[in-house]
Amino acid sequence: MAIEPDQTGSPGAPRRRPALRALGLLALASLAAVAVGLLVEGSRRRIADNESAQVMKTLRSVLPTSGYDNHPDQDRILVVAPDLLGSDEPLPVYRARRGGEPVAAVITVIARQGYVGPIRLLVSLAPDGTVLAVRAIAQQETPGLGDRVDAAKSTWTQIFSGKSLDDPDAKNWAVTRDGGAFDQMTGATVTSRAVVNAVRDAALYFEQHHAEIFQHPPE
Amino acid sequence: MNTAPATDQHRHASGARQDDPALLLLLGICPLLGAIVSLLAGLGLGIATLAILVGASALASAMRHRMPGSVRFAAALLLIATLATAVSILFEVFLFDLFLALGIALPLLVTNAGIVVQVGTVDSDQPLRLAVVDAAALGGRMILLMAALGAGRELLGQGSLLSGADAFGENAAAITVHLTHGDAGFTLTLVPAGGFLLLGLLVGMHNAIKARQAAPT
Repeated sequence: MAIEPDQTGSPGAPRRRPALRALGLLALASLAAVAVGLLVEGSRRRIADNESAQVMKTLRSVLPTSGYDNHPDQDRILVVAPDLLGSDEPLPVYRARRGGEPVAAVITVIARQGYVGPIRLLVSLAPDGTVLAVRAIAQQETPGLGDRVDAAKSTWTQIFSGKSLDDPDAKNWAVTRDGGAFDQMTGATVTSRAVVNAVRDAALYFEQHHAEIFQHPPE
Repeated sequence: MNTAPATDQHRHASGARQDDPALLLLLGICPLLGAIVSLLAGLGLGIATLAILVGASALASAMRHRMPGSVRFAAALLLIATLATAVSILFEVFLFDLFLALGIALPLLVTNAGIVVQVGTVDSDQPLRLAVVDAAALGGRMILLMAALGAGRELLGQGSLLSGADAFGENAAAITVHLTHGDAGFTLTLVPAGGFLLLGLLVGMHNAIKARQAAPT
């Protein structure tokens, strides 16, 4: 390809050399990068606000409505427990208190054996180890089947409320198909089994780290 | 390759393929089929598409004298990508719940062939106002298509319309319409495979209509 300008007198815009065109693109790209950078910086705080509002919204769905007077989304610690909580990454545990006394702990647990992928759950527990509520906050299960783990689609996750590691006892913490006490969602046994195991593991984690969960200073 | 005269047909062609611009429109939304499972999702993506189209077209048109043919596509892609990022951030700030629901589909608008062809070819030739009008026309058609597809999938799959309205505040959730209750729903339409089936039906209908129009009488 010739790099001299076109000499044959073709009408219209003059031909520029490839180097100039490349420079032009580079200038455009730099301008775009600056614009995007400014936008990202300018929106950072509002997006963070949105995210913490979202966290607070999901926490409210697993905590009793009036039982606490602190800000659980801020009173939280990060824990790493790959065997029980399903991830090598630090996962948040939120504490709800009233008058300084522990009222509930909300543990984030990841059910790795979901049908399509991992399911991120919030399990809230009373200080005596009773499960208060379970909510799925991120899942990709099959619509109409496994995705009924989402509280917006069905009330299945309510079967865990009031349960604890004593009720049902250890061998009954399974779906009925495996001989346990929890009815699986119709057509979604794999999802149900994964969630039952994850809730049980969260309760186990709570039992093993009870003191530390409530006493560790927030981070 | 038939080259139509530069008349109204060219002016209002949604995309540079004068032989079948509507097909390009239909196929251009393939990457988004995973996310368009409800009316609101379709509307959200449609409006995002409109914003990207109009913005990128306006900029491409404004710069058209400085951009010779060989860099035109590269520049168009750059503009589209920048605008898609900007629109994605705006959704994240103002429509957070919808942003979470749409997930990867918002940035994925960069791959929408309809946008790329429109900005890269047609609009970088036209004066500003024409470029914007053309882009808006294409964007409008995309909103209709995505909203219709989303509404159809939501209705057949869940028996509801406008679900997810609580993205606009808790009071807005009341406008969600539930036409069936409980589990009644044709689940196939909610998975991507169902989306492709529905899109295929739409393409088939489009081809049938076109064939009938072309049939000599």
